[in-house]
Amino acid sequence: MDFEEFEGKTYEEAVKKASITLGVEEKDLEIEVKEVDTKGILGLLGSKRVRILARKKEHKNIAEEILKDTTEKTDSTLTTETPEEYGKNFLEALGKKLGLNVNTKISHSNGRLLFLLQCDHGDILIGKEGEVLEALQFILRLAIAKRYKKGLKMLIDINGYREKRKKAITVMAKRLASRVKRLGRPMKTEPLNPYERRIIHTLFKHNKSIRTKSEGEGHTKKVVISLIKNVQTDGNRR
Amino acid sequence: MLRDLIEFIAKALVDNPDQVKVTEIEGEKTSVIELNVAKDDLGKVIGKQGRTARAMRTILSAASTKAKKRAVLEIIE
Repeated sequence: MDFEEFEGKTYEEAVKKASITLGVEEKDLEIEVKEVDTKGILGLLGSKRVRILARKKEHKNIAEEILKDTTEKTDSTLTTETPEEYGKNFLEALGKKLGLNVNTKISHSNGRLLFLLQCDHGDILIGKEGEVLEALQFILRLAIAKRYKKGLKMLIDINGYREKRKKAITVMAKRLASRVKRLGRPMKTEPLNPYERRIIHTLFKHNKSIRTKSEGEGHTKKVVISLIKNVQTDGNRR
Repeated sequence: MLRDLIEFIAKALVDNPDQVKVTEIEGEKTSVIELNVAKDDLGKVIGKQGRTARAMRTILSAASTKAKKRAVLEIIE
């Protein structure tokens, strides 16, 4: 449909005329302002005219375009949003459904995407021993993999929980290791989740005298810290 | 609120989001959230050894703590 021209004393008036003449509701009009004419003495005395071009919005075409888009390239219509943006929006929307105000900062570290959340009631989103945090991360990872058809290395942290936990675990592991050296026998940590165990394994990866190994079944396992070789056999005998 | 939460999560995980139906049956202290998905999507909301279902339940219980209510998630086959 082509544009038609309408005129009124005010913008509103012109739009109203267009609406009546075209038989279309105002919200369904596509409007371009053509001219605002302020004749008269300094625009004071009434002869102001506003001219607009208006036509009915072409809903059908837009709808068709969207439909065509989604059928033609189901994936790429979604990927206008990057995984970073999607993740941020997902987490913030989820927080809102929990009645929480979540603020997400995105960062990268060692090829890993980091979602750093700030939240007023962080303890709810973290949960006992970080179990809610792990669940959130698991779900987000799935959702991203599903949407972008590929996995992504990512990590969520809430109010610096992981960072604090990492420090605590590092201190604990070092203390255990020095006891292992002193007593010459292996020692175990408390049950830890995979992420937490990794912290310990990485910590001693290049250590020549300490060996680490996960022990047990299921999601949380203990890490056994022991001495390498000759000293260790000695430890086993005790 | 709890219903919305589960719907939001489930829709992000399945191939047929339009077939996700969630109903909340409210009791005095406990709510039962029933999740219906397309047959092909059942595996997606349950996950390997029920991991996805467990993660959803964990998040749900966190949400229900805030709502001072107990909530149970049932996945309807």
